[in-house]
Amino acid sequence: MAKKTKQPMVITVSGDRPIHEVAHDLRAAGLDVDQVLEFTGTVTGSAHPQNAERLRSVPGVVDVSPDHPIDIGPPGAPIS
Amino acid sequence: MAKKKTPTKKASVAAQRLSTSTDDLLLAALERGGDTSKTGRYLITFKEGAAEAGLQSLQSQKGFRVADARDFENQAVSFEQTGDAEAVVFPEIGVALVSGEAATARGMTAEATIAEDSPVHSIDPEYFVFAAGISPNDYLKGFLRAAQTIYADLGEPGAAEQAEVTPAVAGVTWGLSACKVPPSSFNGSGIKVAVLDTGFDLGHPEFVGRSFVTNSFVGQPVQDLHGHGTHTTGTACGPQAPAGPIPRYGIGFRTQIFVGKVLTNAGGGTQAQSLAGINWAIANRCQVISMSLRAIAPPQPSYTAAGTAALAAGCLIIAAAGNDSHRPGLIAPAGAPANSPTIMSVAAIDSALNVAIFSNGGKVDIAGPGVNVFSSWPRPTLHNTISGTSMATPHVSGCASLWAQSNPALRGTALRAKLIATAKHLPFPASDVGAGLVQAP
Repeated sequence: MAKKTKQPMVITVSGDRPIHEVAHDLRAAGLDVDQVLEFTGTVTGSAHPQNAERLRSVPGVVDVSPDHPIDIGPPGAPIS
Repeated sequence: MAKKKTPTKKASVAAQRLSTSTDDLLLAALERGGDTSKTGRYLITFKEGAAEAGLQSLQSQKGFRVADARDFENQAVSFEQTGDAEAVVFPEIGVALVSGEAATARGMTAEATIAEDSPVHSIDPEYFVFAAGISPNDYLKGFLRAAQTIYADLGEPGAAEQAEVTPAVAGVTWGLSACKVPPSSFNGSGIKVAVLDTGFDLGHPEFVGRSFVTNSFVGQPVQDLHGHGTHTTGTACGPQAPAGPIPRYGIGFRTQIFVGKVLTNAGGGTQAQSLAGINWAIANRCQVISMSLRAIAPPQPSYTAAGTAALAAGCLIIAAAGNDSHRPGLIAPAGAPANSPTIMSVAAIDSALNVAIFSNGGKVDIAGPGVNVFSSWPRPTLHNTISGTSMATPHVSGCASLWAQSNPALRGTALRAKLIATAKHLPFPASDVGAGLVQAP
């Protein structure tokens, strides 16, 4: 079995602070920032699960959740 | 992925394990006969916040050999690597999958009564999952069609006529007809519709001359090698009069099409990629954002916030409720993002205006045609008829583009309210069809 590694995270911000400032602080709190989505108010990236609480404590952060994969199935497969 | 194996008598024995391939589970189900929609395994849902207690009770009280999703990289459980485990616990969602044999031996079946102080909320049979966009019905119809074609080839007169499944009425699909699209004087001109899906066949002959803005968020070209995105885009934005004996299948035929590829050609994606697509669609002020995709997850704060931001910018996100139900026995809850309150959730109905057996329930806002839906498909096929809430969603998105064109005040929340106020009432609970069947202006 694989070891625990960084996992993809989705961070929702409140809009009270400029999102790039929040992203900067999230980086300092252990997030490898992947995207800063200004219009949706989202920062995505990856972090060790044990860092989730630190990420949550960054001012302007509303929520820290694991990324949920989407799968509509392969083309033409009746069952997947 | 699991490799295909030759059917053997061992299939039913193999099904007792969690590492069993889907193929072998199916073979075992077929061997058992009866209800072949169930895998023979069980899903235990723990009470909110009780996942850890549940894990402990499975291990120490019940004596299950347990694998923990957190021990896998990115919690991506590889079932082939679960070895002799009898249960896999997914702490993030508070669910455990247990083998049928192990559950039965401990009296943990769907019929068992659960003690009040137990961390367990419910025990349910696990069902086989069908790809979004394809319902089990279609699979059977495809099989029947093939059988009838072979029969016809053998020279039996009349067999070919019986193979007719859903004839297009008066040059338009049943779905467009049910939504009152043909008599509408609107075409979506001036409205930007973003379809976040598997991309689009940009060389499709029925879309020559159309205005496209495209972007890929998955590291693959926008060109759709899956088909799903070409089909959903066709319904929302396809042509008014395709050449030849092809019925009209598209609604907003003068819309500007924004193709956001957030799912790969294999049909997969992440929440981050979906959010990137929404971000792009809002930045481009797409009045309608169509999302025929879902993850099995509770309402996600990130999607709810994205929906709020969209509404504030005059954009409306419309998403598929999902195809995880098996009515009447099982009504699965709407998935994410449709289950967010700021995002419109779409259920599927069939041509008799009944709820599609696969259509998810609960947080549903509106319904659209989603069974045997004819639309565009990548070359060389050009067209395909498939089913799913994925197909119902672009009917709502297309009609939304017509309403948005009809009145510049109909944006965001006002557009959503208009769609709900004008929907055709259906004799089913709102948790199944919301306000009813979407109607064009």
